[in-house]
Amino acid sequence: MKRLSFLSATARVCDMAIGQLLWSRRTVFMALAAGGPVVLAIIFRGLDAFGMSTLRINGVRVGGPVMFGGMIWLLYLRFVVPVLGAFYGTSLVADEVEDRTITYLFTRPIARGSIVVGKYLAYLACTSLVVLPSVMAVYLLITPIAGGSMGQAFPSLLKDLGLLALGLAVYGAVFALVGARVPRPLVAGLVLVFGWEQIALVVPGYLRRFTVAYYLQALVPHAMPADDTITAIQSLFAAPPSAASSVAWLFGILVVALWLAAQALESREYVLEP
Amino acid sequence: MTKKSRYFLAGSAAVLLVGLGAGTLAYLTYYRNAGVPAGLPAELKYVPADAQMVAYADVRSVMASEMRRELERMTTGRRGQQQMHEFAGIDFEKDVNRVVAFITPEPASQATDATPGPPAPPRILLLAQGNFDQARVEQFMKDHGGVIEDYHGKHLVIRQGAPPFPRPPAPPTAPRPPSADQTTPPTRPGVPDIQPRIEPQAPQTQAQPMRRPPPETAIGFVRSDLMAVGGTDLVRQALDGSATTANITGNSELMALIHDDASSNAWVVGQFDAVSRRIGLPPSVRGQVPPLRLVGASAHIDGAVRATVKALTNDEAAANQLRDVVRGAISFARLQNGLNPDLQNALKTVELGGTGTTVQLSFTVTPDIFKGLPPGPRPPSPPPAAEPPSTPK
Repeated sequence: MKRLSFLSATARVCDMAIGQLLWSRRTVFMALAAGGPVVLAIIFRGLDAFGMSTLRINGVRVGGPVMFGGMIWLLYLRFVVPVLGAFYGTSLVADEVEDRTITYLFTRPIARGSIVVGKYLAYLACTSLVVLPSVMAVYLLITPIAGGSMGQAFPSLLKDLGLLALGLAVYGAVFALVGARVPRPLVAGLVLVFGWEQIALVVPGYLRRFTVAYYLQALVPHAMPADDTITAIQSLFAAPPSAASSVAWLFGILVVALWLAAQALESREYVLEP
Repeated sequence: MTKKSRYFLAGSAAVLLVGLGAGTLAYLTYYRNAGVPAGLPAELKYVPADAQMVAYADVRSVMASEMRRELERMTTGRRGQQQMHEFAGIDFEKDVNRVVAFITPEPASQATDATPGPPAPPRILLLAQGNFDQARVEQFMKDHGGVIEDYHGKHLVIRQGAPPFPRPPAPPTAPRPPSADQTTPPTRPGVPDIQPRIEPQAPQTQAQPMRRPPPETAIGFVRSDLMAVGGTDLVRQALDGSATTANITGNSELMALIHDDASSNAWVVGQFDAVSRRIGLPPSVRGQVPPLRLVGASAHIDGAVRATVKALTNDEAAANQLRDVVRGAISFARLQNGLNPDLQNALKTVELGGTGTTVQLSFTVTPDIFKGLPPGPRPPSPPPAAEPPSTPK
């Protein structure tokens, strides 16, 4: 049987994996994660249409662009993106191992690394095409509230879309590596998102440089909402890196993590338990 | 890929593209309505047409410049930034992208105001574009005596300016001998009058000139990313938007200067009369300068500062006269012996140009020049702490 080139193999795996990812049992979670903010935006917009102010600070209504910025920070950046990354990224290899179907993939005349890369690209296509339209819908619904201008907020939206796509890509690569290396990858992924990243960000010193969130947060075009003590501590010690270095670091993390994940699959012997 | 998956992905992509199209349309419509030419800061639409002086700084690029890093290495203090932070809870370096500031003429009522005392402070509005946490800034202002008002659905935080420092009490007047015209209580015979008679003083309020009330400072968020700081009436105007008054884009003279400086990351343009008054140029000096209408200065700051100063005179004769004056000054400076070599090199970069009624002077300043300058006066050291009372050991 003729061995496929790396690119052809990656494309074939990607094509196959898109269907698996979209219509798996995790789809319900993805629908909730992406649809929740849209439902919230519809509620806010509905309340605004009926003259009921939705959010007030110091007694005065908060404008739509500010609300949109807050939703990007609190819902997408801190929750949707890392959690989707953890759920889907860790499953890229782990599901095949768990379902004992990875041997079928290994018997195909393709490089093992192309399995990881192909599945990763499928993950990126699926999550981006679910999360980004959700952000777009929220922008269209929320921004005009309280006299907000969609035109003014549009440059920020473009940055948000790029930022979230980059976040999904980097988290996906990191969790693909976790999925290829760690026995219980989902637990490890959630610990990484809600444990390590949260703690490292508020600890003074250099620890925060070993988190993805540190570089992602430096790119956000909206002010960080002062919603809780953790944020206050974080802003106290915040010394965000420049945008260029953040992007460089994020791409560096992405490439290294994906390469390590591919290497892990190339070299590791998977013992399938009966 | 199944047909179902393909439809799903195509639908998602369509939603994304439709949203992007709508956003692009809204963006283009917004900037067409703003009427600010491309390449200029959009905040200019909030600058009224009668502004006397307009200044702009691309804070982000200036802060990231090599020149600034060099200067920071030479100096250790960051007092200005701390003051700004204290003022509004804003980190100027991190939170602000660009700044536009302008000075407007005093209203007719104030211009004719004959209130004695120091002149009224200039009517300045500063528009800062960046990433702000509105709630935090407002809370900061509130904690520092600010009062939050609702102005047409937007927040306006007004803070009364700091009251003038209380004057030290007047020294007691020397005792004076009783005069014949004074009605003094008769002294008892044989008892010397040792009580000094102090003249009753007029109340201080009558003796001192009336003072202007402390100026009000207001902060308003024109947009979530655009903060206006300045006099309350100017902030209100900015919150109203550009629809209520004609903006600077209608002032063709100043706009011509602004267009020339658009490629710089910091510039200031203004009417010469206003500029000279604001910088405190004495009237005698102003009288010596050939009649100027407009002046502008711009700087491109990166590894060095490439600066250009431009002046527009009333006529060509005045421009020639000004060129002669400047040429003489440059020659005089170049003839000076004992100048720092870096300063001499900087003088070599000075170019005088301009045609017609325009006089233009350009030069380049490198960080090395600052290294060669003598250090400035040191800030006064705090007074030595009082000796603690000797305690038994």
